[in-house]
Amino acid sequence: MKTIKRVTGTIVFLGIAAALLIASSYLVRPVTEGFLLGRMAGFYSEEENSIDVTFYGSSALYRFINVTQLWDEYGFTSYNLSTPSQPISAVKYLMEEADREQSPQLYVVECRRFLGNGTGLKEKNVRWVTDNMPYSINRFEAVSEMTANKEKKLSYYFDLVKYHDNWEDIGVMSLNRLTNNLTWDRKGWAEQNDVAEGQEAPNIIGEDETVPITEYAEEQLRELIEECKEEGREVLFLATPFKIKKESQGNYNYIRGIVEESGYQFLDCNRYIEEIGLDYSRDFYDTRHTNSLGAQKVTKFVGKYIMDHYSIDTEYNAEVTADWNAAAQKGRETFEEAKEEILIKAGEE
Amino acid sequence: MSYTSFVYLVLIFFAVLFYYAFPKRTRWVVLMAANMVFYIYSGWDNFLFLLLSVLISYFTAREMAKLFEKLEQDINQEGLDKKQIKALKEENKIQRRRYLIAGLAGVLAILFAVKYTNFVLKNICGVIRIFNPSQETLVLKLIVPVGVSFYTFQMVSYLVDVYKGKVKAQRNICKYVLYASFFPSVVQGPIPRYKDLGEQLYRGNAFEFENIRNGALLILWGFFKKLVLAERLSIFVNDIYGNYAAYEGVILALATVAYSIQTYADFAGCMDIVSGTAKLFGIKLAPNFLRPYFSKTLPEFWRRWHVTMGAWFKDYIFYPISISKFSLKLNKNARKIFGNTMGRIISSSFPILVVWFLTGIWHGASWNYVAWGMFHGVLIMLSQIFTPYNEKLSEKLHIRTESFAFRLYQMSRTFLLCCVGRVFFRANGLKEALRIFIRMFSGVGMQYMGAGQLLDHGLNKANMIVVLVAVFVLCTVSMMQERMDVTEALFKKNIVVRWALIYLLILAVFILGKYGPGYNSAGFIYEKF
Repeated sequence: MKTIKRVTGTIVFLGIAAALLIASSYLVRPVTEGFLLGRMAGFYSEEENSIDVTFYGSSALYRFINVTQLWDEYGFTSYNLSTPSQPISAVKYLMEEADREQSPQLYVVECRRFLGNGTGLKEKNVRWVTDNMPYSINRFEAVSEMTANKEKKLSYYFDLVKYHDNWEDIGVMSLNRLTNNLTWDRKGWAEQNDVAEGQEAPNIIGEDETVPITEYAEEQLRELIEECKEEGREVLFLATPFKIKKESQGNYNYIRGIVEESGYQFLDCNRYIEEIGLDYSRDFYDTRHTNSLGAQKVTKFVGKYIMDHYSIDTEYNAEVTADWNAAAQKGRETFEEAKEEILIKAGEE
Repeated sequence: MSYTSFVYLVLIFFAVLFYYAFPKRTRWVVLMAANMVFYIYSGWDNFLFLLLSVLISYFTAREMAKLFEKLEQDINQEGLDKKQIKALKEENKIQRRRYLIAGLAGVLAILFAVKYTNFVLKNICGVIRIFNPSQETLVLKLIVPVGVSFYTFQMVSYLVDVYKGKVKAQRNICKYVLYASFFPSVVQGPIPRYKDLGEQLYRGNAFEFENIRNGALLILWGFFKKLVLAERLSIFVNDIYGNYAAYEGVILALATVAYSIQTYADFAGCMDIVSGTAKLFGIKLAPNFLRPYFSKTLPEFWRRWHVTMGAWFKDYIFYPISISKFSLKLNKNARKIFGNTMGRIISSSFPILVVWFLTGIWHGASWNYVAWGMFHGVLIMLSQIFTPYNEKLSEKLHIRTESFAFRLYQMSRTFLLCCVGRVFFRANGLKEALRIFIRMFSGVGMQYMGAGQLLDHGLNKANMIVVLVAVFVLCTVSMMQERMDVTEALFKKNIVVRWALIYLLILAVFILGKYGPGYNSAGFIYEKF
């Protein structure tokens, strides 16, 4: 009897200790926008089953797709689960997060990261994903895969070890994160208002000119497709436009082959520059990313593509509608200010 | 492997798990395996040096044991008279002494070679430079094995105790390796005696829930002292001592006081972790740190700070010197020349100064450590000389020496004297220590003491508050420990209170502790010795 009491007591004690440490871990995670807090942490504060489309990728996504504009123009909710230089191995784990928290009708995967080597992940790129995820088996597996080549892993698994010094910054935002009230009206989109002057549109090669991607990237892509098929997910593979070189175009053509072979669709925006209406001398802030003006055009195009090719059931309760209307209102106001700034910088005003 | 590292916690977790999973008579094997993992993790070169010392001490002790067996056989022969028995004992003692000297020479030679060779070379080159200014300092690339000072002393005590017949030499070399390298204490102490530790290591202790609970709590408390207080204070101390030439006066004194608290928390924390670890296996290590800042005199301080080191020096240096022919002759001659009182003072001071010279040099191969040791030695010597006069004076002046105010004065005095010694301890060399003293008294330095300036040394306001709160908590618990067993008192409390306090401690360590990938811990201070 005494032994049972002691064992039970010990388990309860350790359980409470673990809960306190996990809660502490959430409290000290960075709360600055510079850490992309809003991009991912805000996702967990969205009302359950209110997000219908989720986006995955790197800055090739969060600089291009304004999800509040998608709501405004097409009436569906979406969230941008993209992070800087997001590891391609992270996508499947983020989809698991989306499945747990929401029930997306469409998953959109931006493919720019499949063009690179994919290995040798930098600490910050991993942490932007993992240190915004709540503790779970899915997170554990994500950390295990993304830190496979790293020596010191404890602080990835248990990020309190990394961030405990942030205790001085604990405030309202930290408490909101802990109670899942950390909403962000940009819903994962991040605007940029500089202009890369003098850029020209790239020459686009034929679709049959393919250049294989790396072995690792192909392995990850096929694994992702297989998993999505098993889970019955509807997926759109997307390539956002940039000053693309021939080799990268060949890579996208190669990816197209794999994706379409599986039955999924691949939308390469680089082939629709005219339709999108992009002006490379004004709509980009560097060779690889659109500014707010360019993003508005890409968002419009991608949104229309989604509406034309997928049926998204757009039924929302009053609270969700009000929240997204407010976000869209803010988005419109922000866009007008951004447009003015960009046009001045481009010398058009 | 640092005692505050995750790897160490993983090691003790699995070691405890396997220890109690194994049958009692084989549990010592688990401890030995844990020892090997601990030592090899620190580096093969560390392990090889340890092994060398172990082999020397083991085999010389075995030879002494064989001589004891032979003596027993010899004196049990029939027909021997007292004179013959005495002669046999004397002859046996001489033979044992040869092995003792060989064993001591072997282990101490290793200690000397790795730790003091460069110090000796530096000083020889310094002397040569007087005559030949172009002489460069010779420096050899030597490894100083982790814990070499501690385990060497442990082996010395074992060899002497075997020689004297106080303990029987261990036959099983693996069991001896276990004693000599018991991982919780091998790096920073305590310095265990074979008669106290051996049996506990080999007998296979039964599982007791209280050992696990109390051991874990002690480890947690040690982490608090080390990570929350000591590591935090080191930021402040390092900033000022690292740039002492830019400061003068009070700020240097404040940094010295901070260092005194840092060392206290560092060593106390380490001892708690070490004792707590041993307790998990049902092993009780000798107490090594007994709240020394409550001491009223320096001799008392040294009976509370690093207790086992003090006991070691007393048993293996002080007493042998005191009763040696040299000391007896010194006593006789000093009394003849200077009179009884002065003669007694001189002859009793000699072993004290030798002990403190060796204590200083043991802490570090550098003249500032020697100065630190001699500083304490001289003060202890003076304390012994003047204590009778102080007592008479207090009586004449009707000073209530048992009053709280007087005890507080005594504790403050002892603390301040320790702080003065700490300057030698902390400085990089004797010259730097003297320069720091000069700068400390060259001005008041109030310009460095404003709130803004004090927060310019790596600790902002929030961290300073953490330091003050941690010091308050440490003082409160220490005061309670002077009067009661705090662990027992805690576990008598209501479960909600008990768990709340422990959870607060856990959160304090994990959130306020200075550790992690962005932080370079300096390691424990005594680890360097």
